[in-house]
Amino acid sequence: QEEEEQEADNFMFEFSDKPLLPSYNLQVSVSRGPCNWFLFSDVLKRLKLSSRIFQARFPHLEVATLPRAEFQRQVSLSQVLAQEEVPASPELAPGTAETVELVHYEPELLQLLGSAVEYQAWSS
Amino acid sequence: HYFRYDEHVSLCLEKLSSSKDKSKAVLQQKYVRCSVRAQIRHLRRVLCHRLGLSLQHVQILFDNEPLPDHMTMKQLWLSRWFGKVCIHQ
Repeated sequence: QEEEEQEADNFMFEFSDKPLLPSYNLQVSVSRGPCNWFLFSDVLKRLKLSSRIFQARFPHLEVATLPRAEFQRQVSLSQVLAQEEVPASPELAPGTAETVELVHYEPELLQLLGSAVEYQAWSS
Repeated sequence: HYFRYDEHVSLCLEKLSSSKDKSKAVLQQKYVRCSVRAQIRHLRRVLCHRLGLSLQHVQILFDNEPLPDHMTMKQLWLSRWFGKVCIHQ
């Protein structure tokens, strides 16, 4: 717990030799502030795993769902997300799921994705 | 501070080649993501650590111009990239 609090006060830098999967700063419920998420489908594609296998192997990694319209509304408010990174609305075509599945951005998942993680203290 | 809940920026770092430092460290992992509140000085320190170099040997530039140490990633983004269209392909 103490270690977690220390890390919260540090900047986390993610390094990769492959282009990074986009991450999104989202508020998924009213009882919790915004935090960072990947699209679950992006993660599964990169890891070449099915959702079932992922959740069986990594049950502690948090998966959440958000209505697609709400996801797009929050993402469109970002000042720093290039519009090309916003999944296009044509995906809203008939037959598309009304919700998006998300997986929480955290160091263990970054390592699974092949990234290296480093911390840097704000005050350093 | 709780930086871990901050919005992120993603960067791609390209090593500026100069003829006299051929043997200098290679940047293997050039794709970087961090908080919008991280400053250039934090990125410099992390890079120094990864490359095993001292601070005076690492500079971060944009358009050949060194970036100020106290500039945040958000300031950098809004002043240099905002509204620019990325050209993929």
